[in-house]
Amino acid sequence: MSSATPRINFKYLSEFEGKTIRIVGKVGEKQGNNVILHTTDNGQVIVDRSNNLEKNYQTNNVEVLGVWNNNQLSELTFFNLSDNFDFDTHNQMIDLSMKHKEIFM
Amino acid sequence: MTNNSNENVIVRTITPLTIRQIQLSTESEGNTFKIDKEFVMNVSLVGTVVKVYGGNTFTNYTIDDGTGQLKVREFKRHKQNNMDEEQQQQEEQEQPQEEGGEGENKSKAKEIENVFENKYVRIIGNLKEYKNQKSFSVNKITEITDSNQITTHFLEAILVHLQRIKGTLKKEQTSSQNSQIKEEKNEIQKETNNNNNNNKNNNIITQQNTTQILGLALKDKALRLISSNQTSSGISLQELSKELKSTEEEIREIVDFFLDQGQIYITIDDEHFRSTD
Repeated sequence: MSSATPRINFKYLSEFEGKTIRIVGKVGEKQGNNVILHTTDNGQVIVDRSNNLEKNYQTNNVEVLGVWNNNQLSELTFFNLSDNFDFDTHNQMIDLSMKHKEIFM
Repeated sequence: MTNNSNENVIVRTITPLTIRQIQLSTESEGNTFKIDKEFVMNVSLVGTVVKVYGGNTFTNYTIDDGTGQLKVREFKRHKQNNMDEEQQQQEEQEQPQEEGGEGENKSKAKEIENVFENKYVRIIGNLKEYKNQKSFSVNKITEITDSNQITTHFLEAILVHLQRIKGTLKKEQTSSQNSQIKEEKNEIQKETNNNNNNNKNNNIITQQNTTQILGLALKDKALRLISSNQTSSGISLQELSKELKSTEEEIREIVDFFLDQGQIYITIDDEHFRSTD
């Protein structure tokens, strides 16, 4: 019933296999259609951009919305974030939101 | 402050919410909703715009904030239009709020360009009940340029949620479970403050942040001195100035601030103060 696309980081990925999620990260190396995303908790996620190649990331930090499957995030869309984005605070917000899921999902 | 007469509940605060909270809210009195047992009218949301539909007098946005999706409506303001918002809303509500399309749908709205594509927005609006349905009318929709506001918004939503269901930090709490909640809320408040400090363009100034800007130590001492005075005429400006070793002008600024906040009040004349606590 819920159409939530939860914000998570690297350590919560295993709980969301097959689900549509949002993950924030610093844009890393490009490998063909894939991009590495460095998450707020120092994890690395492979983002498969094949469905959204016509749009380019415009900032160094982005939030990617996609489906997490088989160790890859298939991107549906993304959002540009400002360069002063505080990774640490965002990471702690994610932890807190997991503790209070009742208002998030 | 809420006015507890039958239908006219007026709430003047802006509540930061998640769309999930709005979806789950069922309690209402008159046409005002309750979330976490408190009336809410003015609401702030932070999310992304999925679709935009434009009509003659309104624009419909579908907003997604990661917790759910919500359709919100912004009325266009015409200078010479004599219809007030209520009438406009009624007129538009007669038409289905569903997006326009070909065929049987009578709505005049059609999909238009999403100026907020790939961007986050902040929305301030009114949550109301109209014919047993939730309706959200937008007062302001602005693009978020400092993305830390996204994090701050969700931290504030958690904070307000916890304050409303568990009580504020000031109340006496005895059980260990309560002290754990206190710790959590302290954490959240710390994060909110950290985030506020990192924001150059942050338009939301929480009371804590304002205190930081104006100089914590002196104001804090002043408030404590005022609170500790139990006489009916309260403490005078001169006494405060003497105790705190500050000029009367500086003290005057501080007491004006607390008077505005409603934390102190004047007693026999405007140079004597007592705490409202």
